[in-house]
Amino acid sequence: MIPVARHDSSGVRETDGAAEAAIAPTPGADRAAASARRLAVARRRHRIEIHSWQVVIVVVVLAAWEWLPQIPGAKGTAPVLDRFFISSPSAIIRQIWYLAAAAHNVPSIWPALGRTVITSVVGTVAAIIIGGLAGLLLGNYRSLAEIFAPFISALNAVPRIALIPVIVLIAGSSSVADAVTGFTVVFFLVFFSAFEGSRGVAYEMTEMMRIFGASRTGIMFRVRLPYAGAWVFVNLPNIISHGLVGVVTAELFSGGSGMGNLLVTAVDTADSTLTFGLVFYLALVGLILILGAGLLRDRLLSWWDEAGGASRSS
Amino acid sequence: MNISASPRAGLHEPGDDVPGPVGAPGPAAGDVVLAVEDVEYSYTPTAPALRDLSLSLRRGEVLSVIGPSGCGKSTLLAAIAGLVAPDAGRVWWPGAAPDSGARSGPRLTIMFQKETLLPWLTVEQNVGIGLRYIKSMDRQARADRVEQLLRMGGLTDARHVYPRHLSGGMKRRAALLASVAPLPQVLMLDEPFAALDEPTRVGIHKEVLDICHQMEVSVILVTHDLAEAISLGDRVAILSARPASVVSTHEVPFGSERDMFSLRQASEFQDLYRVLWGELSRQIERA
Repeated sequence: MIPVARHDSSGVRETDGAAEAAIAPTPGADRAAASARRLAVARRRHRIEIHSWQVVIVVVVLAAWEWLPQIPGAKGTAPVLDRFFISSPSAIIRQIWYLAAAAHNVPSIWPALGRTVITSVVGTVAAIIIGGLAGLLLGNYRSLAEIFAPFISALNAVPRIALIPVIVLIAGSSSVADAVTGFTVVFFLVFFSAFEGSRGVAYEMTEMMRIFGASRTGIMFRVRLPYAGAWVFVNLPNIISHGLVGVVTAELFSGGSGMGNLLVTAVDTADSTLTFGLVFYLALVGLILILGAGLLRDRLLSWWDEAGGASRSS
Repeated sequence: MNISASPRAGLHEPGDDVPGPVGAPGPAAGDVVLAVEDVEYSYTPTAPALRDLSLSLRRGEVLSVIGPSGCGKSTLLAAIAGLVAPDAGRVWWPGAAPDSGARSGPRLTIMFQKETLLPWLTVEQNVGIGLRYIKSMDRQARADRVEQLLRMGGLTDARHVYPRHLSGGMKRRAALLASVAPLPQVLMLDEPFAALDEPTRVGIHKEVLDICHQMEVSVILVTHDLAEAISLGDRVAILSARPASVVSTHEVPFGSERDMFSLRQASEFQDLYRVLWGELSRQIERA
């Protein structure tokens, strides 16, 4: 059995049984088990402490949000203490329920949310595939990278949001326009991640593979692709949140039937409670997508060396 | 198949894409595997790295190459491997057509100082990575070869482990097994143990020699550690300051059955060390 040692997010060193036995002053199963139990208790206590602080922060913020505007005279002090602008947690929670149940003349959120999520996923996945392949290719073929470098720099410098009117003119006020906007926002994030990952492969690795008989294309797929993929997956939470932001922004402009359109309605009617309710759902969707991406990343990158990247694992 | 009884014969499978035995004798000696003749190479016209460099590698020997820092040792390996084309001179394989190229098959492999294990592959997959390019080997033959190598390197229990979970010494052993898996005639070691601590390094030396002897592979070891050069080498070639050429070559009078830990305390070792250090230090002063 190979001793395995790693650090969890709390910084507590965890080891498997064999490794524990190996580092114990007097090796023995009982001592290793006792030590493992102590570590588990310490980790649990640390997690409880962290979560407790997080709960305290949430409660304090929500309580301040709910009751500070009720203090006489507070409303006139600053707009952030005026319920017209910031609503209240209790009203927002009710609104969240109304949106889910389509109650009290509030429209159901699900069709709009579904459209926005699907559009985001389509745009983001397309950007991951196309941007990833482009980054991989240019990372593998230096002359290609030299040819395209000025164009990529120029395109990357363009604010993607400024392209929305053009995209809407071309694709119309449709999901396609929104997905294309999400794509353009995400594309360069993915491209540069894949490019850096592909270029970052150690020279010695590619030379070793060449000596074994691998072709340049073979090295691209067998050596550079996993590194490029790893860099993209490491940035996946960032990529997903940008994709969502791109699509919602496009919906704000294009007037499609997604969450962006509901947000426009909420702002037009000066309904801060509805706005916060919609923002809650968007944040929830973003969180679920990011958590899912994180799980996928951890599963696919079990080989990745968190300490310094796989290419520097020596 | 019994590796210890007949390693190379036992490891070869019918139809393997592995070079055959050395044919016609070379110019220097009947048993020369690789010859470097008057090789010159410059990265720029004003920065020559190799000048009139000649050396030969005998079948089954370990040739240690040592020289001042930056003298061109790694350039020499690159020229031998065909990764850079010499400006003059030639690298050739007695018994094969001259200048037929060192990358046409698994005639030569290299183990670098830097980690080259692919981190998303297990130890077992890493050891067999070079075999994937031997088209004549089927899956079963590759698996058998890897199995034997893992046993030889004492890594059978670690076969399903990813490199990040290995110790430095185990990583080096896995990289060595991957390098010898295609049964090269020549293995080039480019300061492969420099990153290891002293006890681990000395410990792995014996394993390296055992594996190379069992695989009947000739070795060119580039190192900056004179004690390592003597401990592992059958001969030691000293390179001049940049541009590199061979200043002298010395036979190491120890057999293949060396005790790496006690060897360094032997008076013969100390005497040879003093002689070589004298020559090396002159080149270092010139650098």
